[in-house]
Amino acid sequence: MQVDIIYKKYIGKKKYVFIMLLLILFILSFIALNLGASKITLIDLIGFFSGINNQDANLIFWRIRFPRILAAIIAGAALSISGCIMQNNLKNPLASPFTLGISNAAAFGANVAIILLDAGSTQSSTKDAVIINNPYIVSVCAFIFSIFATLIVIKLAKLKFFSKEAIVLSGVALGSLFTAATTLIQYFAQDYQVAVAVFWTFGDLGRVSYKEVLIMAVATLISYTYFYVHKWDYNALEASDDIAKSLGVDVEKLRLRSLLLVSFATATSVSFIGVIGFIGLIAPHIMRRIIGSDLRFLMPTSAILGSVLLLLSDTLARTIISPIILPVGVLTSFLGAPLFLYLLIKGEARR
Amino acid sequence: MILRVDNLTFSYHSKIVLEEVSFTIHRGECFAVLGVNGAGKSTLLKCINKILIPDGGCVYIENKAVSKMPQIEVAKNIGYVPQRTNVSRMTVFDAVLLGRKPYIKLDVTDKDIQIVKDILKHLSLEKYSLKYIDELSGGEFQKVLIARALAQQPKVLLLDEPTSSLDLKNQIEVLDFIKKIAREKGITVVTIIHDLNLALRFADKFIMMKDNKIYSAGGEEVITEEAIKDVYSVDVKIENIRNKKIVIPI
Ligand SMILES: Nc1ncnc2c1ncn2[C@@H]1O[C@H](COP(=O)(O)OP(=O)(O)OP(=O)(O)O)[C@@H](O)[C@H]1O
Ligand SMILES: [Mg+2]
Repeated sequence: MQVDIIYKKYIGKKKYVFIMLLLILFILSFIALNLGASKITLIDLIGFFSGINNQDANLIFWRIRFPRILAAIIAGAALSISGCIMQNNLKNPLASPFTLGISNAAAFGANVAIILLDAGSTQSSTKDAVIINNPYIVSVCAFIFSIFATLIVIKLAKLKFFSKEAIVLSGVALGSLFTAATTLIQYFAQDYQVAVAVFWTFGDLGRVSYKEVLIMAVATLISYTYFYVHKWDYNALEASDDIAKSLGVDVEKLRLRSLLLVSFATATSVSFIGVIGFIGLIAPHIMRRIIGSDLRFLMPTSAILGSVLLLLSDTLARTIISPIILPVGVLTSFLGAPLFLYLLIKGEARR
Repeated sequence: MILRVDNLTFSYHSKIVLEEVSFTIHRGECFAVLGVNGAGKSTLLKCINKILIPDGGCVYIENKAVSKMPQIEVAKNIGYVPQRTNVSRMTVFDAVLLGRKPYIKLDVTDKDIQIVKDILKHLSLEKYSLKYIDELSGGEFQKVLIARALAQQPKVLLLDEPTSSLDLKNQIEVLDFIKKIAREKGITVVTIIHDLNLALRFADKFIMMKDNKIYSAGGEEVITEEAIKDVYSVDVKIENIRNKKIVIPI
């Protein structure tokens, strides 16, 4: 058979994977919409469509579950795409959206807002009494510090012409610096403030409403558009820096912009929902095993897989010991760590 | 005149590697760059297509300064095969398709696919097209790199020891193929090559490098017993067999 036809078939199969994942995400969203502490299902909503005003169902679907599902889909995609681009840019399978120290910087920002600017308080001693008085100040602080950290990493890396090692090392160094600073201000804080700050750090999707979802969606879309337009540049980078240059890629500029946009998308999500680990590491990792490292397909499929994984985790977090809702960040780390080790060991054995 | 290198100077940190290197190449010529290990040959190629930025001097393609061109413009003019590179995990077809990168807007077109298909055929790489390049032999991989540079459809091809891993048959076949399309399409080839006899068979012009400088440049006449003694410190005999110069180490 002709080589071009064989190739096109091979490409076609990859598109199939994307469609399958999309289908899975769709079905999962549907299931998630039907599950929850209150036993309301879509059946109850039919009344809403036929004109009978079922206030409760209405509220639970459109104000609680739906924005939460959207948040999971968008944040999952944002983290996963960011991870995908980081792994490609740094040629490091262990890179994640947090490699530049964003999670530590965001946590520090939130701590600054909650402790130094007193944006949090507790009302009583029960579990869910931790209240963030002014979530916007916390988000804004978290965002500012994330971007600040990114700019420092970029400045440092620039001295070394954006070498991969320079980026990773300055990210790690800055991350631990922010962690130390966080510990320091927590040391002098009131108990309730520390409680609020720690609570913030667990990523949780219950905090967002449509407005935040929209902001996250816009940030993610802006970044993703840039990444998608430059997918061939990333593919060239996959070969090597020198080859990418010889194929017309301005490697330093590409790295700089990619890092900025990854940080922008990640920081936006993290500022609203806190730190959710492992999704950005594991989703691109799994997808690379299935579909290869061609960014044309790796980016969109990783994005969807990230959404699927986060939505799955969040649905579990909501239902596993219902009516208590676990923060999803705890769950992704719990599930992510063993899954990651499994992939690592299985991958080793195959080689 | 297609490629002019004018007074090129380059140093890694403070170690000078190229000193006032100048030469001119005309359209369709095949150039061989000769010299001992560490003479600065690879560095010279990288300075030509802006992988490295020279400290001084300038490179011109058809009288346009390369230093002023955006990288993508350089890539449309100059194809490059590195001496060594890390092997990533992609299929042969994708690896060669990457050569179309300077022309791809958002997605590959049927024309791109067609070009890749033709090149794979000419280099007898068809049967590997869906194999991963990290599962190829050294020689097969080297051919993929050459195929990629050809897919770029450049005016100038820079080849850094393109045949170092190829067997005798492939060495001759690949170089003959490159020479053929150089003639047909008016592509200029600059290749670094260590095998002097292979160089004599392939190239029209020669550049010999010694101590970061050009020792001599010109046609076959610059390959003399004295020059080789000077550059490589090796005693050789040059014989004419069937009207071809053959270098025999003694
Ligand atoms: N990245 C680098 N950093 C520092 N020095 C370098 C670097 N690359 C090469 N050099 C030095 O520059 C000199 C020229 O290297 P170059 O690779 O151009 O040699 P070459 O002529 O291609 O040799 P070979 O025939 O072995 O490939 C060598 O002395 C080498 O040690
Ligand atoms: Mg070399």
